[in-house]
Amino acid sequence: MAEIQTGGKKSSPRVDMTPMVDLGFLLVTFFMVTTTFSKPNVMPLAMPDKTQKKDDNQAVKESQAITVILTENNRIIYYTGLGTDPSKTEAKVAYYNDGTKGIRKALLARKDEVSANPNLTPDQRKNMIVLIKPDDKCRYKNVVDILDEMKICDIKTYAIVNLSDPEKELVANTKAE
Amino acid sequence: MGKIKIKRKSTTLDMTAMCDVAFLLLTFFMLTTKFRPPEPLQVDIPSSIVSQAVPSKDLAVIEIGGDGRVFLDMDQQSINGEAVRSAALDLMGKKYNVTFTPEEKSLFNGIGPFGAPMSNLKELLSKPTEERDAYAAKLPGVVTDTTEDWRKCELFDWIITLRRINPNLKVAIKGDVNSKYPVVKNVIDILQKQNVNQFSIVTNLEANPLAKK
Repeated sequence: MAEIQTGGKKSSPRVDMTPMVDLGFLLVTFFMVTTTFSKPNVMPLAMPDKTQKKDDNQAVKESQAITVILTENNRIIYYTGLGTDPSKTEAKVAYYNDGTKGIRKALLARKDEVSANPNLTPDQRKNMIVLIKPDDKCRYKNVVDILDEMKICDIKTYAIVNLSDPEKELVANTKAE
Repeated sequence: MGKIKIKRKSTTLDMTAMCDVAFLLLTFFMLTTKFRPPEPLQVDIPSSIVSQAVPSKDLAVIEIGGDGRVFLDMDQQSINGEAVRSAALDLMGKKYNVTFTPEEKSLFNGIGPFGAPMSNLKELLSKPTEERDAYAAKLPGVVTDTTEDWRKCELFDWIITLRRINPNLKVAIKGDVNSKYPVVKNVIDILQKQNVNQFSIVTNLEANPLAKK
């Protein structure tokens, strides 16, 4: 009678795991690439209350403020003061870059000027006021950029306001130059 | 002199440990991954240095596209056992004389950002799933026109309805880099019209250029 062969060669208990590891890492790579770790952030923004009476606006001194007009082609027109009469002060053009024509330099310079002004109270000296006036031709990015500059330069008091009529003229005139 | 015998080592390694690590990582990424919901409106958001995380609830996001279309997104959350989105749709439907079925309401709860005027909303919800994304991307956006009548501004009504359902609601604006300022200003005016003076702007994080010094 023929004998049944049992276990002539014992098969090794080891399994080749290479394909399993391959698959594992392939899936790891896939999930790593598709996972979004960079979550967007939020920047808080408080607009001036329209229903409030405007008396407290008078408390702001011209020598404490700088007005920044945002206009088309990423240009900024800025001048010192509140912008009630822009013809009194010299308007300058700046851009959003870090260079010598950058708005940051102008803001920081004005901040130093305000904090060194002997005619202001210590409280006023600490709080330079920036009036941000985006005109109808500027882009949303410009507004966010200038708000970001406020954060970078550590300016606490700023407001987004509309352009006055003399300022609209000013914008039109500086374009012609 | 005696010869040194070098034993041939086997080339197979024990891959169990490596395999363990691979699958551990795999499990981690699988559990943490949250697939992005479909975005009918492409918004390229500007960057800033603020690092405050987007709140995970009580948030309504007004999306403004580069083409001037305005979409609205709100959280899928429930207040007193009622889904906020469905409740808002119900109230808006009553105001604009559109009746929505319970199926449409529960569907609306999960669709993400939408930019449909009230007149198109029912059509959007009746589309089969595979056609909906393409249809949603072509919609003209939530009506924000305020030139004629405040009562016809649907965005105003959406926000006020949402605030009525959820008094803790915060509003965020997610604008595209290239959107024109008048569009944004109009949205801000709509918010200020109902005394929402505090809101947030959704941005990407960027490094502070002055921090190096």
